[in-house]
Amino acid sequence: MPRDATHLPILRGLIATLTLGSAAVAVVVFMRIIGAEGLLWAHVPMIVLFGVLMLWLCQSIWLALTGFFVVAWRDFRRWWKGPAWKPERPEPAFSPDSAKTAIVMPVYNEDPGRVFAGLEAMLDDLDAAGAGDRFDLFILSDTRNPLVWLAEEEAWAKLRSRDRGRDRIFYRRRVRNEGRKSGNIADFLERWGLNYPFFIVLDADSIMTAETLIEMARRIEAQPTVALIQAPPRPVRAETLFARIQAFSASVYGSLPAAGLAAVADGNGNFWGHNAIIRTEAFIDHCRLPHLPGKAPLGGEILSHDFVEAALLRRAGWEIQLADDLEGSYEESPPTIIDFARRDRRWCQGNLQHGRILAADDLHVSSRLYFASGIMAYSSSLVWLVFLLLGGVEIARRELSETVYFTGEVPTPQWPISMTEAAVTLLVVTMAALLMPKVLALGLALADRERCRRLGGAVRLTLSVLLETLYSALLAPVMMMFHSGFVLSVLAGASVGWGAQRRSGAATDLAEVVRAHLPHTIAGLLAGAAILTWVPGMFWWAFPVLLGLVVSIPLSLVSSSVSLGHFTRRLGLFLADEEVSPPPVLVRLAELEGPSPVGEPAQREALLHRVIHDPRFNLRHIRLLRAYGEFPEADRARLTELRDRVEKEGFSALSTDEMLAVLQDPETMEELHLASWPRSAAGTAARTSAA
Amino acid sequence: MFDSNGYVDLIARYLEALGYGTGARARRCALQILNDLRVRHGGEIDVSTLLRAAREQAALAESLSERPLPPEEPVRMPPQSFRYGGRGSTRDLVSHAGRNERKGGPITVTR
Repeated sequence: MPRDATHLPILRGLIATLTLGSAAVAVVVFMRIIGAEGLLWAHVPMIVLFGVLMLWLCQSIWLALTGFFVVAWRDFRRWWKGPAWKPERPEPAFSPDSAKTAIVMPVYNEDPGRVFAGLEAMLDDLDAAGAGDRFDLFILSDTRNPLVWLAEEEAWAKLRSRDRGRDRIFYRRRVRNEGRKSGNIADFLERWGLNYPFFIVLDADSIMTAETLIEMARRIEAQPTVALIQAPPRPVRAETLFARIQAFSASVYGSLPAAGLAAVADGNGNFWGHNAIIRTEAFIDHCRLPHLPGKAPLGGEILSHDFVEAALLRRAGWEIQLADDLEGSYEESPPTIIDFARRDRRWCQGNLQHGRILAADDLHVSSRLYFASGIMAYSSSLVWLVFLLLGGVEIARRELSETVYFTGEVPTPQWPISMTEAAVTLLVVTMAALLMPKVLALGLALADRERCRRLGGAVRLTLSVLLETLYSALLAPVMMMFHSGFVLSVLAGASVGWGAQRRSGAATDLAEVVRAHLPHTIAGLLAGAAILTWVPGMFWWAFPVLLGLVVSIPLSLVSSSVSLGHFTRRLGLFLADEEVSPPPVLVRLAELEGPSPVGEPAQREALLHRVIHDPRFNLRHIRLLRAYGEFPEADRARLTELRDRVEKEGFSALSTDEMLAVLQDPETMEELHLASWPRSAAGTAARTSAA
Repeated sequence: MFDSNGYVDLIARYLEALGYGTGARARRCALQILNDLRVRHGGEIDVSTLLRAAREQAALAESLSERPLPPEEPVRMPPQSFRYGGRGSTRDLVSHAGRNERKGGPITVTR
């Protein structure tokens, strides 16, 4: 169905004009304030930094405002036509002669219990929707932890057996995890990609409803110029207070910026790495990621591969859509501030790498804007911090310099000009602009009676927004410090490793919190003391920033609490849509998810025992190794020595690397099994006859 | 060591542990495996050979129902790069060191 895009140039021009215009007005007002007693060259850096911050702020506000109108119109139509109404979706619902779509889930040392429960829940949902045979599932493991690897194999086998012999769930583990996640996907595409015209990429914590999976497949098939459709994921299954607040804000406010961006972008959308469907041929042809010259952090493998892949697709003329109207797309958010910051550290490095590609030839302007906005997502914190420091120096300079009332050869009076009113106005307008998207989103939620009731009622919903705003205000300076540190550390050459994310809710331990936030607390106390000493009149202006820093340790501890998360849920606070009325796929996931299969030492021992002694497990393991067909170079002498050690001391006597070496070699694994099984079988037989 | 009857028991139990048949069926299959091996190897057969043959038998049957991976359709993803300095520039920002050594050869998309 051709889309009507005639309004797009006007909409884009309007938003660009409003962004530039409002930022310019703010800068002029700021120049009047700062230059009340004459502009100095020393003011230029502050004015430039302020301009950058205002541009960043204004574009997000105007996009959110655009999103408000989109969502309000959608809500109005739903209200007008009844709650069951959905936007028109052209037929056919799913072409009968469509080829299968692959669902691929790259995993790296993730909890197999959660990963496979999520996959099973999605398969059940697809089966219930009658589309189970239209999708094949690939678990693409890059796992390096031998126990997690074995648990993945076992979970895959269980899922296959529960699937009653249907040939649609596949598992493979790479021996060499070159290129990290993008290399993992590339390996899938180069081997099996051409079997599928489209593939859906999930993250290890992704979960999507069958309706959304099917609709994405239908849309991309119906639009031959589209290479990628991104369904914005919403955080779900939050347990800690921090994660619940994140999920609440995404549920209540998150739709506005996404809808705004989707309306402006149209076919110039972006890729967020997962919960997206991709046209296989386009991706194969254009998305083999290069290495950036030089070493990490700014060279080497591209960490934030998704934006770059989107830019490569756009460069080749393919369209990318952001399907903000698709609701059944979910992920899990980090449970604590520290986990959130840890993830940001990785994203920060990846986004800063984009600075090297930003000005490359032939990129679409939208790709450059996404790169720039990704860089600003972290750099803006450093800009803000430097701006605050320069502002502090400027205020101190004024306070400490003596006011000269009479100047010139014939003394004429020079009265100091108070710009407090203008400064307060600028502050109030900025704060109002910052809060406006929240207020508008709250208004939309209150206007929808059924939704408002679901989210706890008008009082609890409004109280939740107020508390969330207070929490965000306290958290903002902490994140500013984190992000500034990340940007500086990347620029100083420190690179981040590749670790599995902690996704489940668990209270952070005190030592970890103190280690992470002590610098923030000290910075807040020192800044407060400096302000009280030299510019006491500024103390209350700086108070919100100082307070967030000073209370960062208790803030982090309290918000990482699962019991507080549950308590606020019982109070009806921070309720997210999916929390109060979860779709069947989330209910099923909760039913299926059990404790981690590698959580207890006894479980880990049992896994290692079974892979050698259990004929079925051992054979399956070897078959999986051989099916992938790639093996590390085998040092037979070393493997023989390791095999002897396993026979004498057991598997757990080996180091992780040694375990991997043995587990990756089919011959050694078979030898170990064939040598051990007759002994254990004879032992079992002897015990049986004795009994 | 096991005697001839012990061999059949052993293979049958092994096949059961592999999930390939139970009871009489496993025993029949074990006898078949043992006879085949006797024909091929003569009188002396070690336990490892017996178990390997049982594994092959089970894997063959299982491959129909538990295929770990579908058939491959190999294709190469052509390398991408970013250029600076306008069209026709030779200033290539990116390198491909260490990528796709596995397959080697010219890089083209083939269908």
